Amino acid sequence: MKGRMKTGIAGLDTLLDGGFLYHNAILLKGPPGSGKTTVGFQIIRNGILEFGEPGLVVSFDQFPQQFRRDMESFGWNIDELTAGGKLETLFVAPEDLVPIASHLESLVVGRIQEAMDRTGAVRVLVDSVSHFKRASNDPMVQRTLLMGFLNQLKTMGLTPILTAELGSRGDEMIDFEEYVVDCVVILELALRPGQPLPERTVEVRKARGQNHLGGKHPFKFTAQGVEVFPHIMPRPLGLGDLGEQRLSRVSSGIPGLDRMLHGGFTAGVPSLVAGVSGTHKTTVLCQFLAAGAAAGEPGLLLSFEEPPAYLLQILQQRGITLEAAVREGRVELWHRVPKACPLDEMFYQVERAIAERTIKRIAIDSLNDFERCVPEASRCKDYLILFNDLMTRRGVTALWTQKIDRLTDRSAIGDIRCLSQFDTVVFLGQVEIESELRKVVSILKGRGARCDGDLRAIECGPSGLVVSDKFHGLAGILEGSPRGQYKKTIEELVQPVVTVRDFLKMARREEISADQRSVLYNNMDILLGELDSHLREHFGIQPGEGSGPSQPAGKG
Amino acid sequence: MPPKILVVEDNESIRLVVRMTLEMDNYEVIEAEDGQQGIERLKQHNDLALVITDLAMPVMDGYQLLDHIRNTMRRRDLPVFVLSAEKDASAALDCGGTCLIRKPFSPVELLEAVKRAIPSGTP
Repeated sequence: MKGRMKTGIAGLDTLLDGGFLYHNAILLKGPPGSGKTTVGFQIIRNGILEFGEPGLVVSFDQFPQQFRRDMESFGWNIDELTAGGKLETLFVAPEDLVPIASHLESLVVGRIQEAMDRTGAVRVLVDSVSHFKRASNDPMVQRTLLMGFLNQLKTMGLTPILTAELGSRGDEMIDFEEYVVDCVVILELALRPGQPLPERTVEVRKARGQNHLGGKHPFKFTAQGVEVFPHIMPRPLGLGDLGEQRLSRVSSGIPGLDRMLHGGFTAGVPSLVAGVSGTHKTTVLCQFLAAGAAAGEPGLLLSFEEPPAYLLQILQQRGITLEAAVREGRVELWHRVPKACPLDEMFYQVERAIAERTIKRIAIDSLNDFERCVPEASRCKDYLILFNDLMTRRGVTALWTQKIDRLTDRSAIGDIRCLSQFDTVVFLGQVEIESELRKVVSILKGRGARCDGDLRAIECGPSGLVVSDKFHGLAGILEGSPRGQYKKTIEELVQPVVTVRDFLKMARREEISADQRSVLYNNMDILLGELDSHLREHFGIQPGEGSGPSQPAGKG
Repeated sequence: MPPKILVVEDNESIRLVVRMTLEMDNYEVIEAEDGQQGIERLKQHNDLALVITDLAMPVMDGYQLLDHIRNTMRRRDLPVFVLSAEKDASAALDCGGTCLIRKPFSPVELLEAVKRAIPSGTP
């Protein structure tokens, strides 16, 4: 017999370090509606279909058709399993648990033995042992009945899975059945403060003879049954967790930004794009994913903002074609609603996507919304560290956005949070320059790598974002109050002067013809006219309308 | 037919100065306001003898234009002068630029560089 009896339920086997031990008596306990019967039957069904282990269901339920209806709502065809001789369902009365004589087995055990002989069953679900109370009012008798029943099932070679109602007495009171079984799994349904929906949790409270992961872990019903999302436990990163990719660069998909980053973002470590609203943060994420898709690195966008269909339309308008990559599965777009997105579930799904689809790039839009998913505000940083560590371990390059509220009034940089959690931080802002609101980009941080500290203009071109001008001669841009002269000064004021100087030299040459000299003077005239116009534009100076030299009063 | 030179520059004043300078020596000047327009002009005029381009431009910058000329159009033979005020513009020489002329530039020196790059008789 194999060492562990796998449940086949995603996440639950992880909590159990691989599965239950065979022949251990397992108790699934929870309040009504917590999913005990569903989990129990899923373990039986998975045993048959995935592990070749036939099973039995012993139900004390008075309404067999209800059990069938509930299980079939998950698409589980009981008749098919029964017809294949791998499953038998026995509906019995609690009174039949009592042996006819002290040396004889009960009617129920007799029927189980017969069914086991027919099917070769390995697993048996007993739903539920709370009905034992109907067999006797005396707790001592109930306990003796249950112990005897379990011993007989184990002796027969079965692994019993029992369900039991969790009373309203609370956790501090432990029912006797918890003492007589080997494993206790508690299923709960609780409404957390501030959460709109109750959260289902599973806890392995006891697992005799085996390791297990304690604590309460979220689970949910899906169309295929139950799925458990184990907490990701923090652990230090070792040398082995940081692969060779750490030293390499991955393209951001924006050539100008790659140049500022000296090749792109650092592979396998988290980076942040922080900025005020409307500065193309989401577009940066999408170009990062598009570049990954083109380079054979599958990507995932986890968006708490725009729904995928709307996002694709916006991107198309900006000349970024992500639709084909999405259609071909090279980029996945996930949309989540912050308050209805348990982080453990999200972490588990992301980890599975990374493992199954070899995701190499992940983009999270945004950190602010991610923090709204954290049940306790004081633990936001813990969850961020957990997520980023998980990505680093898997060699995935994570790119986050962070919204900053301030626009141009004061320094927005001071509002960026969790800076220490990111290796590279790109700042996107808006500044007023010469009565024009310009979008700017700068690299605030580039841990362990070269990067430019320039402040450059960034804008949407016909094929995505373009990083262009550096703001020559300007200071105080990031503070929101640019001072000094713009690069245009060189082009519109200095260049005409330099040109007129050269043209004048050329015009003085004796070897040039009269026609050429005439063209030169004409050009100088045009350039000086241009210069006048630019002086007016830049400084409000009217060069041709001066009042001449002032003279001291009284002198004619 | 005088040699044709494409000038890719978003600043109108610079385009004007370059045009004046080149036309004095009878070069034919074709203008474009950004890299994207530059590519269109390159497709329209397959007899260009030289390209003079700015680096920092909207829509498509000079680096992308250089990349397009050298790698997409495979025009390795076409001289491309880079005209820029940026202190780190020398990076453009690694991307396929033939020479770098810093703004503000001397029209006399620009003309001399153009004459060196376009051998006499080149269309």
